[in-house]
Amino acid sequence: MTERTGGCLCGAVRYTIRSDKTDLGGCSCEQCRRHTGSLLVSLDGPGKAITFTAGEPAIYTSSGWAERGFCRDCGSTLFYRVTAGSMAGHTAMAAGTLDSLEGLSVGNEVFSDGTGGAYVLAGDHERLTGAETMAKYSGGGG
Amino acid sequence: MTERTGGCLCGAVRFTARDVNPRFSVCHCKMCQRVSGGPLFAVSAPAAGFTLEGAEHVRRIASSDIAERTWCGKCGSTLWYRVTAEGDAADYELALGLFDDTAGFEIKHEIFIDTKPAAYALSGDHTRLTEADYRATRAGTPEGDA
Repeated sequence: MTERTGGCLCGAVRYTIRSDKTDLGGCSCEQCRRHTGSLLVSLDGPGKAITFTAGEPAIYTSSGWAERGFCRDCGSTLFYRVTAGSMAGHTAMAAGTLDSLEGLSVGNEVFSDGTGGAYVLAGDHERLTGAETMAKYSGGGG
Repeated sequence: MTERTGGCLCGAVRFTARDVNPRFSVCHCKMCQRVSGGPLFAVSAPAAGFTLEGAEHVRRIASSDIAERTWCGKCGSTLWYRVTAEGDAADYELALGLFDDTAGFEIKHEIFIDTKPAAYALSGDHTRLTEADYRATRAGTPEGDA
């Protein structure tokens, strides 16, 4: 199992994520774009795959089924985490906080039209618009 | 006069910005990556036309001797990057994702392209500048890696 390390800008929060996934997810839903200021590009895994090795992230409950983590000292966007249902604990770590993104690439994208076409993530990965995302998952976001 | 409104995820911080530049900059330096969680999409707005609601929720860090980064203390949303060395007149470099209406924005250029991870890329034929190229055009303004 590959172990990757990451942390916020000021270094108060550090973590490891153990995953053999190489696909990153991209999300441009309104919640992700407001939280990150751009889009959420993330490496995700079950809660047990992620260990905080320094500090403790601040948590914002963004819906009835999800929360967002950030550093209270520098504001770095750290993660999106599912808090309810069968996926509870599943966490999407913001890829920019990884120390290295070596070997990773965008594998799928949801809410791809969430910023009105201001940018397009290059590549031929699976790309779902907001309407297509809602139809496939009948939910999402948060 | 282009006036645009925006705010953080939880709504505690709201702003109105005038004369917003619809052509935004993308920064791939490692500082921006860590703060935003990915690329920073920065929309320039003059300080003169910028008004803020919920200022008491704005948290800031001097991320270097020349600049600060801010976020909402309640929800953690990335708010802006600002060159403090330029004083009160410094433009706000607002995170694109905060705007209520993101229609009409387009990429002006990508900077620090040489520190962009190979993991993702943005389409388009806009200008792409390395750190060295960018420092040569605007000496001293970018913070760079950390």
